[in-house]
Parts: sequence; structure tokens; C-alpha cells
Amino acid sequence: MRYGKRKWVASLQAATPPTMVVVGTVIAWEAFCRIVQIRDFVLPAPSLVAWQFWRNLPVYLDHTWVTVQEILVGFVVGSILGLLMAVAVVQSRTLQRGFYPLLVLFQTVPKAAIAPLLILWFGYGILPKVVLVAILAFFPVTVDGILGLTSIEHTLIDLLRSVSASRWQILRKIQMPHALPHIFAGLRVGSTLAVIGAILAEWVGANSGLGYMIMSAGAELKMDRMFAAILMASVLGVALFYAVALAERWLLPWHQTVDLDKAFG
Amino acid sequence: MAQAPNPASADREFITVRNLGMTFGDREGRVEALRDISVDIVQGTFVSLLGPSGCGKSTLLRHIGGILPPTGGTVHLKGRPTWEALKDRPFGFVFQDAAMLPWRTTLHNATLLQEIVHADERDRAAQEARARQLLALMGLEEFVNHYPHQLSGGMRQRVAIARALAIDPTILLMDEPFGALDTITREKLNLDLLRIWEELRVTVVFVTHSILEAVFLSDVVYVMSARPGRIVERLDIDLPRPRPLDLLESEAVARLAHRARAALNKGMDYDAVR
Repeated sequence: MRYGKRKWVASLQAATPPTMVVVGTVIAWEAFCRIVQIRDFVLPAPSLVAWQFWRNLPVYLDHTWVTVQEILVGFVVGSILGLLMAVAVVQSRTLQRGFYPLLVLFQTVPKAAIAPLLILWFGYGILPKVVLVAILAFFPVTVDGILGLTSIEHTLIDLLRSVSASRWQILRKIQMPHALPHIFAGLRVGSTLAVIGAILAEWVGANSGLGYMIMSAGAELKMDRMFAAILMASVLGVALFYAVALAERWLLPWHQTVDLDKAFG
Repeated sequence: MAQAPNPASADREFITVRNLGMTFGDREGRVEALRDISVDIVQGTFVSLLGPSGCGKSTLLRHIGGILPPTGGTVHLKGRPTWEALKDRPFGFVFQDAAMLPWRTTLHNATLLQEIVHADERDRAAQEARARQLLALMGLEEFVNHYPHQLSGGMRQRVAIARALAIDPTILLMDEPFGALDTITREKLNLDLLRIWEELRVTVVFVTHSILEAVFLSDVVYVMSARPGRIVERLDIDLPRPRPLDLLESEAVARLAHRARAALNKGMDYDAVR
């Protein structure tokens, strides 16, 4: 218990400098806006953004919920498909020869360029956003998954072959656990891309969501609304990244790539 | 399981390697790793393959263990090609690299091969009990719940030995298992290995490039030449057992080591002739 308490105090101490920087920045920003008397449609004061956000809270929550759904469904679907693709490609040399160049090629396509296409195909609803998020989340998991499944020490493969292990046993006992840290690295990259994908797809064509809010606020020069929406989108990105990192810490206690205390104070 | 041994040779014939050759590569570049190897291993004995680095002794061990088919000659276990005998899981491998799974504790690293060999039985308690027994035999009972990164190199090798023994192999195949360890740890492990071998009476095929290690441990030492690996000499080590560490300083060991060194040097000269 004592150790736990000390750890808690230590992480609080670690969190102090970044918190002070954030608070200081907000105060400086507020002071700057008031002293220079800068126009609200150029740079709104934080108090104005906060007031705007608080007054229209239900509206923000509605739009945020739309974006959250797009991100979560797209991220989960894209990650699962990416994982399946990685396993399939690794299991069969023919699939690997056939698909890998295509994967590399398709990965280089700027995904922003296909957003309008998806809107044309799937309409203004949630579907095109989910599809774009899924595509963006798909590639990092696939590529890192393939790397993780194939970068097994040769000795281990020899060891398992010496007891006539089946391909399934090698996959389950060695390859999958070995690949998990790599897969989580892919998921972390995918989680940030997922938020970008949802906002991007909403810009191109939507009637709800945070991306839509940002676009329409921009068109009306409602900077306070725009800032509030951007802030919400950032919160979503951090939350998803944090969730993935927490899941990794929980599932892979023996493997630690992200120090959560250091990453988020 | 279909086995029709020749009754005349059944009880003596164990591992027989006949005129084995191995060439790696394709039409563009070929490397001859092994040439005309013939080796006989009697059940229950401790046999070492001694040779310089890159002489193909590890390759030969993989042929014996049935995980690498040779390009020429035969390697049989009780009259069956070893790659075929592999299905009955007679081999327990220990490599120079302990190859631990970092996400498993010592105990569950030790049960890994059992989980594959006894996949249909699923008696985890019995598997763990057997693994615990062998880990205790290796002096690791206090470390069963540790993770590999918490163990020293020597301890990891002990786990690797327990892991191989846990499937009750007839033959323990060891590929320079102590090659990466310091001399003190190595001597300790040599002693423990002999103790366990005398207790379990498995056949051991041991690859090493240490002359003293080969002489100290073995009943028979096969000395190999530089690439392509050939058998230069077969040395019978008729030292009494059990063998204490101070035997290493005896004249008998020095004499045998001298013979082994002479054979190694002869093997080096093969290259000059070529």
C-alpha cells in the first residue's frame, strides 16, 4: 500500500509541470485576447470558447457521438480485417506473393483522395466515414501484424518443428503472442489515423459530426464554435490512443512500449 | 508407428548415420556443408560432435534430429529415417540460444513442448507437475514464476534443458548449449548435465567447439574437420564415472584432449589439400 501511495504521489508530481504549462498557456491566451482586443473571429478567447461549449453542450455531445460511432466502428472493423489479412498472408506463401505488393501499393495511395469517392458511393450518412476510418486503421495493423508474425527467432521454429508442431500450434503458441506488441504498435498508429479519417470524411460530405461542425463554423466565421469542436476532436484522439495503450498494458504486462505516466503525465 | 525392425540388429542399432552429405544452395551458388559423414550412436551414451566454428556440426545435429533432410546418404533411428521418426517425438532439442518465450513464466516455458506433444490430453496439472519436477532437478524451484528477463543466461539454459526433458525424449540433442556462458557457469552446468544424464539415462548428442567440454562429458567424441565437415576421428573416452570437476586437471584428460586437438589440426589441414 505504501509503495502504491508513493507511486501515486510520484505520478502526481510528474503531472505537475505539463499541467502548469497548459494552465499558463490558457491564461496567457486569455490575457492576450483581452489586452490586444483581438476580434473574436480571428482568435476567440478561451473563456468565449468555454462559454460557447457550455451553452450548446447538448449540440456538441450529439455531434461528438456521431463522430465517436464512426471512429469506433471503423477502427474495430479495420483492425480486425487488418489482423485477418496479416494472418492469411503469413499462412500462405501464394497469398503473400500475391497480396503483399498490392498492400504496399495501396498503402501509398493518399487516403484523403478517396474520401470524395466514398461519399459518392455510400452517401452522406455514417457509412462512408466508417469505411474511410476502417481503411486507415487497416494498413498499420496489417503491416505490423505481418512483421510480428514473421519475425520469429529461427531457433524457436526449429524447436517446434522438432516436436512436429502443427501450423496452427505454431501460430497460436508462438506467432500470435509474439506478434501482439507489433499489433499494438499498429493499433496505436491506427487509433490516431482513425480520428483523422472520421473528421476528413465529414469535411467532404456530412450533415453531422465534429468535422461537419468545424466546416460549417468556419464558413460562418464562428471561431468559438470551431475551436470548441477542434478541442473535442483532440480529446477523442487522445482518449482512443490512451485506451489502446491501456489495453496493451493490461494484456501484455511483460511488454511495455509506451510509458503511460510519461506519455500523459 | 509401423515398425519392422530387423531382429538381428534391433537391440544394437540406434542412431546410424551413413555417408551423409549436405549441400546448401541452388544452381547459382552451392555450399557443401557436410561430406561423407558416418556416425554410430549407442543408446544411453553421451556423444559429442567436436569441431571448429562453421564446420557443419550444428547442421549434422539437425539431420540427426530429423528437422533437416540431408541431400545425400541416410540418417536412421532404429532403422527409420529420423524425419519419419520425428512424428513419435523422440528428440528433445536444446540450442545455444535458450529461445525462451518472454510472455511465459519459467514454469510455462518448461511446459511449452508438452502442450504440443500431449495436445489431446490437456492434463495441465500433470504437465506442470512434470515441469516442476525437472525445474527442481535443474535447481530452479524458486524461479518457477519468474519471467525470462528476470533470469541469468545460465538459468535460461537450465529452463531450456528442463523444457526439452519434459517431453521424456529418448534422445537429447544439444547444440552448443553452454557456448554463450562464462566458464564458471559452464562448468557448473556441465556437472549438472552429467548428474541428470546419469539419473535419466537419455542418449545425449552434444555439439561443442570446446575440447575439454567434449572430453569431460562424453563417452565418444567425433572430431570434425573444417567445411565441408567430415569426421576426422572417433575418440573413445574411457574415463570413469561419475566424473568430478578436478578430473579436468588429470593427466588422462590432458592426454585425450591432446589427441582431440591433434585430430582438429588434422581436420584444418584438409582445407590446405583442397
